[in-house]
Amino acid sequence: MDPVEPIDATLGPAPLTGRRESPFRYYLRFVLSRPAGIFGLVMVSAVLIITIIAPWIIPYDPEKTFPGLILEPPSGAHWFGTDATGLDVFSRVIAATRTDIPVAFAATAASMAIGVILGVIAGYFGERRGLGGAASEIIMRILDIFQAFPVFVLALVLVAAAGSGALNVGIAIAFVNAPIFARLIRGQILGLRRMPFVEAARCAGGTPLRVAFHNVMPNVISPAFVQASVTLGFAILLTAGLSFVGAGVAAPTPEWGLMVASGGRHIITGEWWPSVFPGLALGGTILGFAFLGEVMGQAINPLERR
Amino acid sequence: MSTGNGVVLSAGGVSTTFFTHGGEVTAVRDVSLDLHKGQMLGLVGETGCGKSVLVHSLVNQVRFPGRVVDGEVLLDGEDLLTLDERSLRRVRGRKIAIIGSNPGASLDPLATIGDQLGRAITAHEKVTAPEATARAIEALESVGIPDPERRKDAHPHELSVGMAQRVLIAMALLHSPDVIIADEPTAGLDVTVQRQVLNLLRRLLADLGSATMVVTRDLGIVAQYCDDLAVMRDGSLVEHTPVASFFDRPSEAYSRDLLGRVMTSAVGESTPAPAAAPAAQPAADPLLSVRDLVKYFPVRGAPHLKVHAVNGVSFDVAPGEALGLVGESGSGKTTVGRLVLRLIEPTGGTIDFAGERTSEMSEANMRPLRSRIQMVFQEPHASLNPSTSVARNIDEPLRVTGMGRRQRNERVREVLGMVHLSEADGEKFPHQLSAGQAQRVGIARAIGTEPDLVVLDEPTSQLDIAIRAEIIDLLNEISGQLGMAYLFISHDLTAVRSVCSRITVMYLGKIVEVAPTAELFANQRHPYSKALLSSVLYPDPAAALPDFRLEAEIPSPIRLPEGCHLHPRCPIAIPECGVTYPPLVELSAQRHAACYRSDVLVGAPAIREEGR
Repeated sequence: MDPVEPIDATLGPAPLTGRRESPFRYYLRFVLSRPAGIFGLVMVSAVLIITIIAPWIIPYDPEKTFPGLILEPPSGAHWFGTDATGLDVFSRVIAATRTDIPVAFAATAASMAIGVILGVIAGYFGERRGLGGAASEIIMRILDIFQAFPVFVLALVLVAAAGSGALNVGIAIAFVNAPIFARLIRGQILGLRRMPFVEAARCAGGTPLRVAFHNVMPNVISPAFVQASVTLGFAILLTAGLSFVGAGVAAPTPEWGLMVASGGRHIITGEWWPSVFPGLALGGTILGFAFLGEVMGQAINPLERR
Repeated sequence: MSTGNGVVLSAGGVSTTFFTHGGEVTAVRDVSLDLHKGQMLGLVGETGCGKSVLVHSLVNQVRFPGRVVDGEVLLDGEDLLTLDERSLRRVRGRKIAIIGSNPGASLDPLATIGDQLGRAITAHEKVTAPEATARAIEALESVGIPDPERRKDAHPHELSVGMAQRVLIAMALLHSPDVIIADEPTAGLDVTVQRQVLNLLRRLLADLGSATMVVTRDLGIVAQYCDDLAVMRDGSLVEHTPVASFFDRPSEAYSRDLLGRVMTSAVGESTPAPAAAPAAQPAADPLLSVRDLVKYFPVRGAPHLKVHAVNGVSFDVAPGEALGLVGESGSGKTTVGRLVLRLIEPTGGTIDFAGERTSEMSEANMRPLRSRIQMVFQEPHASLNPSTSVARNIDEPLRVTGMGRRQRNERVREVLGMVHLSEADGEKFPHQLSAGQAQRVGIARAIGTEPDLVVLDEPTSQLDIAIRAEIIDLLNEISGQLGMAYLFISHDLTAVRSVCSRITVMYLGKIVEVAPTAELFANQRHPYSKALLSSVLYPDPAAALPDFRLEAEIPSPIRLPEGCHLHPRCPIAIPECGVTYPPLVELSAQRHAACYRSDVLVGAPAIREEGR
């Protein structure tokens, strides 16, 4: 069979001449061509914008109580009502983005950095003799240990050992997610490292580390960014989850998981608003990141999509 | 060949379009052709001209988003393009059969070949299981598979490519179809095996009297095996004529151009064999000196076995010399190239480059030497880093030389010019290049540091025949300008002919013959070299095919045959050949051969009855 340039039935063939379309434009075009992509992009953009402008759009101080207004139902003055301590739920749902989003972003960025470096070493030097091969083996075995525990339990243990608080939650999330990136990158590199262009880089006189990080890594980094979008959603969920069980951020800091936990006990008496609104915000945000990640994953692999 | 003139299959005005969101792409444009009973039509064209889509159109099997939009394909009074899927199933396999390329991928890896043949039988006929098995064995026998009783229980991975291709042929012929379409039936096969497969195909078709179409890029196959020829370009047939008249005087300008370029590359007329002047002084210190080189690879899951890839190879390359290293797949030639570059570690033996023993150097000590030995790879696109521009790819070996950025940019521009690419091409990314352009970039990258030696690992074998000539010319041009030495590795003797002054022939990890190019082409002193040269299909129907052929296929390098590795396949072997390996002896100045019977080969070519 003649080698055929993969044609994307949805987008039409990529331009073959002139400068390569920038990856950013390609992804944007692809994401906007799918309903799930549009939903994900809208949700994620909305959450990010809210995070930035939160201090200017909240009607009340999220940590200031209204003593006379305990468990008030949603009204014109308090859109999402008030909770058991008389705090404005709307202001807290908005302000919580400033806790959850930065923690999740920082943690994901850190886990990606750690994971990619470990993955490149484990992949490029894997199953070889010498120092690199030994390093690769050690890395993979440590990752095995990390991944042997359920992510949530491991994060819980780490936070319990280091103490609660946003910083420690972030560090714990970074640790538990790093193996995902490492394995992803390792797998990609194992598939690439016997390609002639890698041998060409060795012929060019590059040191093993230079070949691994300079020549090979740029070819496998896109899947890591796609994975990051999915991981971000999980990182938010984990932040909220840890706070939900009391191992994360402490009250009165506004945080979605914490609000769901403290508001949940009032659902049985009919006061649903203190828990349902933060729950919806949390679910919508995670869904947005998950959809975006899913569509980006398709964009990266033109042969797997329909 | 039979002369029946009845039209069996008649395609008229077939057009096939792919409907993509980016627009409609017409892959086949108003193609009309007839297949005659007992005749073989060769369909030729370059990569991407629509050959394969035409094949799929003829059996109404075009893949989404493509669709046959116009025309008719008449077989037995039925228009295949209007039949529904059920009726098509009745026709396919029984009246019209396809022999695909890449036999390894066309067979089900989980089923034995006997079962697969049996299934193909029961798909169209009501027969009992034992009957189907008997028929399968018969079919395997008819395509020359030895010991078919036992071989029917083999899984596809246990077969060599040549054997797998024979199974595909057997499967296609099960129901004695009226029409057979072979899509590149010998792509990826070694030349000696290609001859076997084509001879088999021709013999079976003569017996059956089926109408046949062979799709190929190789005009040599057409010249030697086909009756008629159709030339395709950009989805249209530009020429449809009997083979003899085409090679005499092609009417279309494109055909003339195609034939001209092909003749150049196959016969090497445009560039006469380079004078052996610089190589003629063996007294001068060789640039590269390889002695008793050995490389074994472990066999996964079988620690007591090893693959004997290279079994004691010695040769020299003088400064500025172009040495050809020729052999079929499994001969160890590529492993030798990788050992010379120290991409892999030798098991034994020594390699000296420019007076330094590189075979014992550490990787770190080797690194400064790397700018003096460069490599051009077989796969043009895969050898370029897809994430960086052409210029950055070429720049890569220059970076370790300590040149300044401006100097390097200047140098990149210079070498782009030397390989006839423009400065604008440097801004492109590898996927935007054609295969020929990509290979030029590979060459540009290799010559940037002005190396003393360039290892060329099958630089032309993945290119269309017409492009090969351009690359060969370019290699000659560059060695003329820069004066570096080449180690040209290839399975194709004609490819090395116009570049190399001396040729080394390898078989199963050993050198069997060394000779100056002209002398080797004039007479071969080793049966393997002779078989290789006899297998070359020249694009000239008048050229007689020499009848010196090897039996079977190259054995596994895990268990090498006793004595001379070639003797089980050799038509002139004597009992002694099976006992001890013949030494590589000097026959005359610069000529060596490792054969007890090399005297027999001079003058009188041994003839063997046409085998399977």
